[in-house]
Amino acid sequence: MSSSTEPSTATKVSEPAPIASEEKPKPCCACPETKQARDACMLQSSNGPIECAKLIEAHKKCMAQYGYEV
Amino acid sequence: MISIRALLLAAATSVGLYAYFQHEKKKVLERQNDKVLATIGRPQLGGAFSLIDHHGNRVTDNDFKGKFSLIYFGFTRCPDICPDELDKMSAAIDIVNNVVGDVVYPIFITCDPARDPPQEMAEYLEDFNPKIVGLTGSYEEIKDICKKFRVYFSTPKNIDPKKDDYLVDHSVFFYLMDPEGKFIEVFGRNSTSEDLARAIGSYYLSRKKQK
Repeated sequence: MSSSTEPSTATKVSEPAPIASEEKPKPCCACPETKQARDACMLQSSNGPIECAKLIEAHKKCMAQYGYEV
Repeated sequence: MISIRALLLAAATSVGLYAYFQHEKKKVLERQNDKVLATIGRPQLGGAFSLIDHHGNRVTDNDFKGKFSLIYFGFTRCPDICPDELDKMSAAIDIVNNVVGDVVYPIFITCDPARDPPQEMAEYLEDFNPKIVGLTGSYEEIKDICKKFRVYFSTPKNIDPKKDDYLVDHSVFFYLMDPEGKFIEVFGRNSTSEDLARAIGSYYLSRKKQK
């Protein structure tokens, strides 16, 4: 896409979503699978940020598809 | 509005749960053995902390000894999950108080200390059960307790808390701690207020039998 994401904007500019869906889900419900996997991994791991790095990144990528930066 | 709904739910559920607890008493001793086995493999969550409550007072983990604790991590600008989960917590606490007694501290800890000073926390919690204690602190203090509970939280890079409207991503769990502050159990999003209340009541009755 030509437009770059601007994290500093107060109100998020609506971007054409890569996923073919007119209605964008709320942040809470956008990516339940990747979120649950990451949270469960963090809960079970004593060194979560490192051991769960792939799952953390997977969730970030999923959220980014909907235009959410987390 | 929210509190009325929580109260109605609490009243309706209390009667049923009371009967359940009567039944539960008979099985407490039997469950003791199960619990010993269940303890193996449980993550060691929790630990010492020093934070600021929503009245502006410095509190530590010692202030929450003597009763169970039910802990949730969120933030006041959380759009959807946190209000739902705090409604669930509010209802669960009402059920427990009605059926068993005032045996649990409900605690809400923010993952967004930059925008959640005590005043913001106090204002936010007005919509929920008045027994809920809001905890905030410095960024380092919040980071420390999130690590101890293995809560994932992150904010986008290069944001200005004063003017940017940003999301805080965080784990969604309830943590149940015993009166000595030791971790008992964790509940995910699919648990209901009745699940929470039932667990607290069961563990409370179990401890009562031991003494």
